[in-house]
Parts: sequence; C-alpha cells; structure tokens
Amino acid sequence: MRITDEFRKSMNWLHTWTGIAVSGVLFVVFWMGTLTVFHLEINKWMQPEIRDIVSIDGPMDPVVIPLINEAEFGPQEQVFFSRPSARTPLIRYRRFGGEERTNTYLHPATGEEVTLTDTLGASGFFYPFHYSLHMRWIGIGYWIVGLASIAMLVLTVSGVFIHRKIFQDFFSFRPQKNLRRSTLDLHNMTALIALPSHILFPLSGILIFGLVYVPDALSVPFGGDRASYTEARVGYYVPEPEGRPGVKPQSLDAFIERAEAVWMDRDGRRARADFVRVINAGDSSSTVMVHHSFAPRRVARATGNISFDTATGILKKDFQPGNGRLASSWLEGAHFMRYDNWLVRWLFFFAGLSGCAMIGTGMLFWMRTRIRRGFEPLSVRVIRALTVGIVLGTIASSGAFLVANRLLPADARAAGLDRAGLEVAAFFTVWIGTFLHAGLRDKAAWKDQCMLISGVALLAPMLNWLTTDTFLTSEMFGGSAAVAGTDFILLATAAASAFAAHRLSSPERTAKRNTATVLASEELH
Amino acid sequence: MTTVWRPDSWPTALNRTVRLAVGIIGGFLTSQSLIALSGVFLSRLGLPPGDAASIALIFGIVLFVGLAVWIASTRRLLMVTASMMIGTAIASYAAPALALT
Repeated sequence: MRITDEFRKSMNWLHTWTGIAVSGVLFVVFWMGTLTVFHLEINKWMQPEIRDIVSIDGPMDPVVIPLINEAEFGPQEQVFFSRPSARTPLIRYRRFGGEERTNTYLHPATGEEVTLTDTLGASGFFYPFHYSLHMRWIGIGYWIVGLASIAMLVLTVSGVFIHRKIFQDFFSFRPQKNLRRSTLDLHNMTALIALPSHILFPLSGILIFGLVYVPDALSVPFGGDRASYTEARVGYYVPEPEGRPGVKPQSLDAFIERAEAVWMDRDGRRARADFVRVINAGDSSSTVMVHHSFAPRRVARATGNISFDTATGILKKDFQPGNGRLASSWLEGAHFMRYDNWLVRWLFFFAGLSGCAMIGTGMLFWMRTRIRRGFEPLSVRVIRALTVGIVLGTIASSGAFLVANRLLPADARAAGLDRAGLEVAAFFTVWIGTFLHAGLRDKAAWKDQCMLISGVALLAPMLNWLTTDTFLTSEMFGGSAAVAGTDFILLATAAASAFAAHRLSSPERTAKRNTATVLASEELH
Repeated sequence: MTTVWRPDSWPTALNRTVRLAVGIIGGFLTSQSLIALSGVFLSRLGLPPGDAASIALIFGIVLFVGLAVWIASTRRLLMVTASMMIGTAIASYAAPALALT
C-alpha cells in the first residue's frame, strides 16, 4: 500500500487532535500505572509494620481455622483468605455478604491481627487511580480511561504513519538543536523504545475492563445473560443457598493440597493457590473455592479455580479457561505483571516512564508550536499551566502523598477526614496547587516545580529514616529490598529534578536556546 | 466552495470535530455490535462462548482503532458513516437472533 501525503496529513491532524483531547488523562494513567508496577513494594514503604514480616509458605490452618470456628456465618456470607507471598507476607482475612464485614491482615506465623498504618497505600490509591481516576460516579472514571486507552492505540497507529522516514526520525535525538526539535526527537525516541508496551498496555487494559465497557455485546453469545458470561470468564461456582445450617471447614490446607495436586497432574508443574474462599459459609451448600490466579512462571492470569463441597469434600467444579480465553488472559496477565520476574518488572517500570516522557514531550511540543504560531499570551499561559500541572504537578503530588504518609501522626484526624483521607487530601491539595502556581508563575513554573519535586523526593526518604530508623544503606544490607528500592528511586528522582531545575535556571543556556529557536524557527513544519 | 456532502470542503475545525465525533460514537457502536456478532459467530463455529467472547473483544478493539483511522482519512465520510450505521443495525439485529436460534 502506498502511503500518500494526503493520508499522512490526515494522520497528522488525527494524532494532534486526539493527543490534545486525551494527553492529560493519558499522562496521569501512565504515571499511576508506572507506580503501580511496584505498588506492593510502595505499600511496604508506607506501612512499616509489614517490612520485617517474613513470608511463610506453610500451612494456614493454625491461623485461619480458629477464626472460622469462632465466627457465626450467615447463609450467603463469604469468607476470603489470601495466602502470604514474598511480596505480600500477610494473610488477608475478609468476611462479606453477611451482617458482619471484616477486612483484616494476619501475621502468617502467629495469626495475630497486624495493625497497619492507616493509609490507602499504593494499592488503594495509585492503583485505582490508574484505572478509574478515583471518579466513581456512574463509573465515569472507567469510561474516561477506556476512551483514553482507545485513543492511545489510535495515537500509536497514527504516530507510526506520520513519519516519512520512520527509522531515521526515530533514531534521531539532537539535544543541541532548538527546544522544539529536541522535544520532538525525544517524543519519537521514547515512542519507539517502548512501542510494544504502548500497544500492549492500552489493549490489555480495555480487555481487563471489557465487561464494564461492552457488557451486553459480550453476553450475547450467552443469550444476553451477563452472569453466565462472568461465570465462563472467571469460573466462580456460587450455589444457591439451601436454607439449612452448614458445616464449617475443618481444614483449608487439605483443600489447597487437593487443588494443587489436580493442577500438578494436569499441567505437569506446581501451581500455587493464591487464595481460598468459603462461599455460603453458614449454609449446607457451603463451598470451598481454591483459586490460582497468578503463576510465578506464567504470564497468563486466571489459570483456574477448583470448588469443593465443604462438608463432603466432593469436587464440584474444576474451572480451567479455554484457549480463546487464554489468549485474552495472557494479555491481561502481561498488564498485571504479577509473575515472578524482576528484570521484566523493571523493564515495565522503565517502559511506563518512557510512556510518560513520550506523552509529556508530545504536550510540550504542541505547546511550543502554539507559542511559535503567536497564540494570545493568555491562551499560552493557560496551556502552559495545564501542561506543567499535569506533567510536573502529578509527580510532585505523588511525592507529597508519600511525605504525608510519613508526617501524619497515627491518630491524625481533621475536617472529618481520617488519616488515610488526609493523605489523599494532601495529594489533591498539592496537585491543585501546582496548577494554580503554574498559572501565576508562567514560564518560571517549570523550574519551581522541578525544585518542588526534588524537595519532596528528598524529604520522603529522610522522613522514612526519622520515623522508622531505617535508611537506604541499612535496608540494602539485610533489610527490606522493597524499602531500599523505593528510597533509591526517590533519591534518584530528587537528583534528576534538581539537575533539571539547575539547567532551567541557567541564563546562559536559556539565551543559547532562544537564539537557536529563532534561527531554526522555520525548520519545522 | 462548501458542499454539504463533501466534508473536505467544510471549515477545518468542523470537519475534524465531526470526524472525531463519528469516530468515537460510531466506532463504539459499530465495534460493540460486531463484537456481539463475531462472538456469536465464533461460538457457532464450536468455540466455547467464553472463549468466543474474549476473542471477539480483541477483534472489536482492533476494529475500533481501524475505524478511527479510516474515518479520519476518508474523503467519503458520509458514505462510511452510513455504512457503519447499516452494519451496526444489521449486527445488532442478527447477533441476538443467531444466539437464540
């Protein structure tokens, strides 16, 4: 197929207009997604109580059976236990669907309830921010992120078609050229470096939330029954309550062993159960479901679950996704990044950063073009404020969230907000503040906010040191690698931001840039 | 000269806004109805319905992106839009009917 100039032009405007519409949302989604790669490690940083707990891959019964025996369950109540792992060493215990609701964390060795720092942590804040923007009203956040994901795929396809000399364009980075040229070079380069991930992340993200976006279309093969589709997708076995009191399980380990033996026989390799549910816990239809959702050596998720009758131990359902579902679950598993490969996890982290750089430079290039075309000063000021607030403000407020986590006392409460709520308030206060500041300070906001990022990124590990008596070096040698890694990334961010602020404040460099910009002003389209 | 049935002769902003709107709304409706139709079609070919729906969803996303690119670049925007509407209507009628027979 010959790509005509006319087609290239149409791809150019599609790229520009789609970018203008969604780049802000995309930057936030990419940034939060990048942090989410290490959400369990950031949790350890934010909840020091977890740091020294060692995961135990042993029996759960000594911890969970006494709890089950003590409790009175309703006929439709569900009990959930997650198994401890290296990244999340605690047993999570949840009860729901009945009169009592419980959500606690238990020490895997002693069974004692671990009182954690009152925070949403990275799993409760950055993670849902990534896919729902914390906008829960009629699920609008999911829809905005979904639309942005489709737009990201459109941007990627149109971005590839725009270039006449694609490889030459992609491998050119000329930092000494004028700001617009080098910004565009960096945009192209970061787009190419992580191109597969720029396609994989939005595609798999839409697949994960397919049931939110197109529930009716997906349930048509099931005669329009959404519940049947959900069951075929995840394989949950939820029997109708029989209305008679049931028997409590005397061992969950026994069910786990049986389920793992079935998986071993079928797949020829060990599959570790991730969590166990007791469904209809207080009814004679009570069922124990053992779930294996993330395998350490496999990318695909939702690899299976097995349900047993609690009283008789009879196997009721052995769910194994089919090959078609596996194709989708491979993509979803790649997005969740729960397999045990630290090299790939770090690559995903840098791919996420590369995505942020690509979106940020795209916004910056568009802004510089508006300036060159002589937009009204007020329009330029608004565009600049939005760009600075989205790019730098999001990063600074994420740092402020961590700083608030270490600064607030355990029983902090103000304006009707608990401690966790105050951390969230700190994030949004700083974020809104960065937009206002950028509006007031105009060009100088770039430097100011780089310094702000540097400050919070330096303050966070210092506060961690002061409040927990652990620092990067002590954590590196025998401490928690998760905490050391978080501190290291924070310090690296502080150094990089300080360097950027220094470069931005250098008058000589600014003058040189301005001269180069004037000289090369007609070079670009 | 502005001609109603030639979007390229419309003012640039209007042309592009209409194309984006058709791309988003039309693309969503068309891909949704074709996800349903292809899901039913694949399950008719013998795939378990859950597998068929999963593959249909991947197909639907690719279709959505393809439609967006097509709508952005076509000279015959009105014809493409009409084709999408007819396709959506047929698929919306056919998919549930096929699923139930």
